[in-house]
Amino acid sequence: MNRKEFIKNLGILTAGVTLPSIPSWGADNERLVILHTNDWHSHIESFSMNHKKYPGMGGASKRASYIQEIKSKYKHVLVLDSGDIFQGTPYFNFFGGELEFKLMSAMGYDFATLGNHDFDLGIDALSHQLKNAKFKFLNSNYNFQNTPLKNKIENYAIVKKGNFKIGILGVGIELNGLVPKNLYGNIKYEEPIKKANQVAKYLKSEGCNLVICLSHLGFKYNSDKVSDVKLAQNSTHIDLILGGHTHTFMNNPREFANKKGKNVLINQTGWAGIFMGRIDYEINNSEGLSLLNNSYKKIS
Amino acid sequence: MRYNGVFLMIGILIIQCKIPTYSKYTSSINTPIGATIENNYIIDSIIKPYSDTLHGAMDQIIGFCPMFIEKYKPSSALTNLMADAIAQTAINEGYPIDLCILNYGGIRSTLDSGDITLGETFELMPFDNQITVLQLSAELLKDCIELIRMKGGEPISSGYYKLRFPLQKQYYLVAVNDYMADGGDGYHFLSKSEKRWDTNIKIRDGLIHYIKQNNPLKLDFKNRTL
Repeated sequence: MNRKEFIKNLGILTAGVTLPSIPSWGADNERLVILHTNDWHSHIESFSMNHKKYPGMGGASKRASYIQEIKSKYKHVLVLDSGDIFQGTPYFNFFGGELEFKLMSAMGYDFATLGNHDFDLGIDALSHQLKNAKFKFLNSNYNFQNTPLKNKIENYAIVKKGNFKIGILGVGIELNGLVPKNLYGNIKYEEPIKKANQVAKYLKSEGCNLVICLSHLGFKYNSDKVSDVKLAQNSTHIDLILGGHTHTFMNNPREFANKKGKNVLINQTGWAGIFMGRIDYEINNSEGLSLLNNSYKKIS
Repeated sequence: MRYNGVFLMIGILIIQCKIPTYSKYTSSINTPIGATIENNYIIDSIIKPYSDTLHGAMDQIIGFCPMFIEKYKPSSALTNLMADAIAQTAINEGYPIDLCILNYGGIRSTLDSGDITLGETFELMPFDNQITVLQLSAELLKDCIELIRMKGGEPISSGYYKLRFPLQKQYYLVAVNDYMADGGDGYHFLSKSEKRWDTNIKIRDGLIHYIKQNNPLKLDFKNRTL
């Protein structure tokens, strides 16, 4: 074997060994599909067929079928919820949220954040109910010291899906004045933008190539009240905010420039599980070398 | 040729080591969970024991609504109905109230035309809040009115039609929910009210009783803008 052939063979060998570890290289882009809901408010059943606004829409069973269909088509799927899972139908009044958590677990939810109505039966009841949730709750701006939720709610999560390294955090709304004190107990509310920025910065430093903030702050207000839009505009490391609370129906996600002029996406899907949000991201490994500074490119 | 091979190899190694530092947003669609999507039998089997327990009680018909109504600001047939139902309940309990004010956010659903089921009242008013009667000075009632104007409207009972401005009386008896009486939804000043009676009657139970007593419902579409 001469030198030339040796190098050629080595090249083939290297390619042969390394290619399986980066399955998408040279093939199609690697895709991540994010499915999400917010404020589904115990709407276990579909609306009745004669409902004037949403005939036959929503319902946990149909939602599960949709999630399953997406999961059968795509390898990397995340299912997320932005809070207010509880309260809205007699299912919650009679069974205290047990069924909501069991169903989300069966549907394949990965992460959720807490909404104000998730405290409607009190912090003890919520803590007790968590045993039925196979998915994790995330929140970065509630201090759970001296509450039964201590060590039960994570600050953030890092998930690897192929070449995606996804950091996820959660922020919740000020509870004082919104939820009776005896229900939320000793939770200390901390300023969400500051906390979210701290956690997001850490997640990017850990090499996350996508940082998602689950938020129950509300899309925006006609006042100084902190909102998803304010969070987006005052952030530097968050790529996507999946919101809730204001029951905002959005046809498409909205883009807002962050502190560095980069676009942050905000999406919200109304309420009651009538819509499911879907956002796709992709990583192109060969382009990854040349497009490092070009974080977003909206194709459609 | 020889160098090309080497460059190819280096290229492969660089790509291999380089996990992309960004993800590219490509597309999105907020998908309706429409009536045509099929049910999932696993989910249905989890729901069934719960729904069997619930439906026997919740499908009970308690009244009739002549048309579909929903809430909007400053007032609507639905917000008027809710406030009137709670006002009537308070009066029936012996509180000669001037007005009932509820919070708009407390109305959680719509009311369909036709028979009203018990389950619908749970969707309209899922919270277990109770009716609370407050004795408010004219000053405090003014604070309420100011807040309501700022919010663009709240459910207000038919006592509205008898209010005279400027306010004539020293005190007003006002029915609210205990959430507002405790300072929720912007009503922090209500803690200054001089007298407070918690009726221990749930808002929802007041509504259910009113729907049963007023069958079919007579709706008031008039504007009640403060």
